[in-house]
Amino acid sequence: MNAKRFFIKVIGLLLVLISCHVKVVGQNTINGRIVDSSKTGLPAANIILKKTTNRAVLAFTFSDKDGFFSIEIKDTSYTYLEFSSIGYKTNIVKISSVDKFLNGGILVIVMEPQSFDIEEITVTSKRPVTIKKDTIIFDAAFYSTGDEQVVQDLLTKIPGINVNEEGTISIAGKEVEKVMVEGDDFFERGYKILTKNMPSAPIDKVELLQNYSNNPLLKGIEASDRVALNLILKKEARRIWFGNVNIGYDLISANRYGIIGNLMNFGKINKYYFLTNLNNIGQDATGDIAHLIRPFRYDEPASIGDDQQVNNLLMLSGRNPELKKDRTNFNNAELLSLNAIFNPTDKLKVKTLGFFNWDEQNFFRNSTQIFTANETNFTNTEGYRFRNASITGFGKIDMTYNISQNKMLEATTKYNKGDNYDFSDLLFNSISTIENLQTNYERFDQKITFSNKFKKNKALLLTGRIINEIAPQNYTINRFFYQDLFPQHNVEADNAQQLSKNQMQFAGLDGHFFHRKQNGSLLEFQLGNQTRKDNLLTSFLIKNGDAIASDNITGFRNNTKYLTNKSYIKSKYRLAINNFAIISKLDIHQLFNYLEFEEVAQNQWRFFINPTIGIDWQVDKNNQITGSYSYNITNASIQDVFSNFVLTGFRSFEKGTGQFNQLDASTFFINHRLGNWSDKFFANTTILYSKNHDFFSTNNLITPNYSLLEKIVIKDREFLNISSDLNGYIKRISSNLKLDLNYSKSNFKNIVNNSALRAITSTSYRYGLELRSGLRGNFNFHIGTKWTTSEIKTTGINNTFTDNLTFLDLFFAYNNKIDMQLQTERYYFGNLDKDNNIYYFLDFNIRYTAKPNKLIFSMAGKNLFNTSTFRNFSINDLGTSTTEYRLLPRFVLLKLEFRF
Amino acid sequence: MIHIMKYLVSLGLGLFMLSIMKAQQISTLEVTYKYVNTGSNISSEAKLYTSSQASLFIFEKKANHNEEVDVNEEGEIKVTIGGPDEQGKKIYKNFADQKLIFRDFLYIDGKTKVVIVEEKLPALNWNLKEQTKEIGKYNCSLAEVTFRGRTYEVWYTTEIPIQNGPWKFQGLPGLILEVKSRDNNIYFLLENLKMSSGGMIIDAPKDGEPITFDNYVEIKEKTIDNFIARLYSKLPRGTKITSNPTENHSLEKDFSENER
Repeated sequence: MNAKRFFIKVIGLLLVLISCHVKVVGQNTINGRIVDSSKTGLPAANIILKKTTNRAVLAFTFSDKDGFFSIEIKDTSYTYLEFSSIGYKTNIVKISSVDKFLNGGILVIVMEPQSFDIEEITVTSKRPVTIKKDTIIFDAAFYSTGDEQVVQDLLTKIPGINVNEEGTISIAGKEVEKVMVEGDDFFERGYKILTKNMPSAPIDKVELLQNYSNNPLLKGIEASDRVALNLILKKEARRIWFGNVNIGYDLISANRYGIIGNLMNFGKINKYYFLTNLNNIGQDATGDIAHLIRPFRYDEPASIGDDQQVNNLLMLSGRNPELKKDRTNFNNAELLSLNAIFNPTDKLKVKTLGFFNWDEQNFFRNSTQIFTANETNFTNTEGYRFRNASITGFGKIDMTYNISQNKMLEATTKYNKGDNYDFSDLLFNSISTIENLQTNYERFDQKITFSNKFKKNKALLLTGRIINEIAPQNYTINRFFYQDLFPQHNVEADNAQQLSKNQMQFAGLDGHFFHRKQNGSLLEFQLGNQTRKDNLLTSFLIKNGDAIASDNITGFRNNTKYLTNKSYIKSKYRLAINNFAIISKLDIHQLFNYLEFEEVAQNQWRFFINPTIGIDWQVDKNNQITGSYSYNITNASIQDVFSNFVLTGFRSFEKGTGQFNQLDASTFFINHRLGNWSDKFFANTTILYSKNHDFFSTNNLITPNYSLLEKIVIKDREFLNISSDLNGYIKRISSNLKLDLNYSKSNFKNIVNNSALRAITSTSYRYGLELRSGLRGNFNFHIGTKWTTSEIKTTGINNTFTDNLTFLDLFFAYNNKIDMQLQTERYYFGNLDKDNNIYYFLDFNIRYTAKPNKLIFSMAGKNLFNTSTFRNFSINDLGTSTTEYRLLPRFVLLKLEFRF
Repeated sequence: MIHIMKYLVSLGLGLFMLSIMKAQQISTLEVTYKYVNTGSNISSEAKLYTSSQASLFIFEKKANHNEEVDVNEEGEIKVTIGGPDEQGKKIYKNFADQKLIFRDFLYIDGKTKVVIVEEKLPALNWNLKEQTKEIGKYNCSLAEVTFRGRTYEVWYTTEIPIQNGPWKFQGLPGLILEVKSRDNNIYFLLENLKMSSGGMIIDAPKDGEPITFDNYVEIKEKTIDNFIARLYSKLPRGTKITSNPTENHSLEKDFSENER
């Protein structure tokens, strides 16, 4: 390179020397000199070649320090020579008038002085980016190059909006909350359906909304670091239908498939969205619309009643192993969802959503449970074949009415209804048993919020909500295992049934006031009243064939009415002084409880205060400490207060305390962060300690065929957790080494089979090591291992075991079109027998992008080692259990994804 | 006699030159551009004070240009390096000496440093185009150039024969009024053009630690590369690394030999 450059330089120098000395140059070169009126050479003047006097510049040169220049006339269409220099009048010469200099000689141009002065001008034109306080507006026309197909393509072209290969959009490292069209949104975090399918042509502007608030009137008042995008359509944009289809088909056994279809139409005023999902590859179809049913609104204003629901007493499906759910979920799901947004007037917005879901799930499990509590020792075996069929219908209407610039009314009505049929074929200690459970539920939910931003920095939200939910259950079992419990029915009983009706009504009213102070501190004040009424009706039937032997057994039927009403005042204030902030919260409650069962009613009034104090201290650039202390009193719920036994599994009965309870707890939390994510060394340590001054424990009576579990209130439970992760970057291999340490310990007490209160200590240690590369080439790896040791200690029991999970993931990206991921896992269970204690999994995914966002082929292989069962080992204070799950066999899905 | 004549002539000439120089000093143009760096969310003003011999270009110092290093678990990274003081970034060009002295901020070992760097006035290989358009009232011609990792479309007017422009751009036979990078990231758009009311002294920036250009380039290249690798290697399991990880939105992103 250098030699070549040197050579060129030398040649250049020679040419210059020749042209200077010989002054005979190529025919088409004009040599000249620019001088002022005193014949002094003018340096750095412009010599420009033009076709006409005002057209484009074809070639140019500058005069040297003595005013000399040389310019080549390559083309005969070059007609004008223009000479200019600051402080002189521009000189324009026709080449035809000076053509004698083409053959040599020096063209002398004398410049006439002219004072340099220009008139001030101000240009106002369209800007690619307009920045208003918290909104950045990108003009699509500046960024579009005409080859974009879908919204994502356009967003990719706007620097600063990062779109990764999966389509995740983030701004300055933060994922966007949603992508709206003209302020309307269906998808929330599921925006990829929109950005990967909506044509980009109708987009006029892209708005980036920083410090975004879901309630526009709280903008700038509530604390928010969310970001969102809003797409503005061109005025003349034409409505079109668009969407995509994703089809997968199993190449090995040819009986697995997955189809997802999206169809939508977005106009300035109305918007429609249809979705369908059919699959039997273990995917939860409603997962696609979970965000539509329950928008993610954690800790947001006006979110009262979100945690109010009926909890079913009986569930047959049982626990899932610590594996990805799609490994054990033998399903057949069909989902159809229809959604629309209407804007009938400028002020009114109506959003409707509806879906139907049919699913059929199968699940297989074998377990062995060894009980060793309080000198009771026995072993139970269960072989479960479980089947569930469910039909769910859901409808939701959201209405937003903008009364004025500063006032808004929102109403949400939800209705859902579902029928669940569970069936299990159980082999219990070699006895074949059939269980049936039918659950029907119905829920109506109405919420109204009125927002008023009555000052620039002050706002008031009034929210009212009513929920009505009912969930009756009918459970039958074709065996009678409870002879010992009901000796009077020993002779005639051969099966059992439980009928239950669980009903909940909720009404709440809440006023929430926000005041953003001049110094940036936020004062929040909340006043409200909430009432919840529960009615739990259960009856346990002892049967002989179809005949009912007894349906009125003392202690095994419930008719509990429980009403809690609480009035509260909550205040929250964040005071920031330089790099130190104090967050104080004070919740004052006045509680009224009413409990009625067996025709006996009782009530209770209680006043209490829940305080929290927290700190947020940025010690220096590398150290940050956050901490909090809170004292919390919680009221018992319906599951804690019902007075008689109900069946909660084929061999377990459970009952509450039959009285009012409020539980006191203290919690300490402290976190220290050293360094930043981007630093060579980064560590994060958290200590959490909580003490339950009172807590619900259990008094258990356990026999091989049944167990009775009674809730009791015990004093003093402790929980301690210390976790730390340390990251060190190793420059030599461009990799990060991560050490993960976790210790937790809890102390509690319970009673088993008439024992005294047993103190139980449960301890767990976790230590993990991971190495992940951050190479910028086409290969990367991630390897890690994690050991978990669990220990349970109580009188007569001391159980310990250690498990390990090791993984190795490889990533290949050959080019923009092909990429591949390989994931391998090895599970090791320390307490299982040697032949059954190690499990391997291998999954892969290859993607070939034929046309970006248009046509993609991919192949996904699951469970390639064809591991058919997976065994888990667990311990608790009652003994140990080994559970074996059947897994979805190996399959390789060939997938085709295309946009229309 | 001849000597005296020569002396007088040269004196007169000298005086004349002085007067020209004075005139030229007065003829300082003040050009205000809108500087847009889309990727770094910057849309601010930048000013060029230029005579025909030297110029000073100043990026408007904005409160929100503070240093910002942010990353999320998806691996999107943004680094915006602002300055620790109110002077901001400056570029001084001296056409007689063919040199360029700039003031910039570097992120070294977790600290932002102010540096003063001298480089040769970059020789830009302008590619002249036939397109013309009007900006303000001026007829402009189009030229293209590839410089430090980006290709730019540059509009300049021969009606103002100053061979200068915003940032490090110069060397066209007229003032540059508009610059747009092909990747849509960088824009310099004319907002206002007037004769300077005076008071602005065109001089090289001095407030900062002088380092060599090679040293500057080395630090810049290293910080970005290390930074990205460090972040990527901290991602949680299953996070896919994309082949084109993070875009570099800074004005200069490639210092490889042929781009200099």
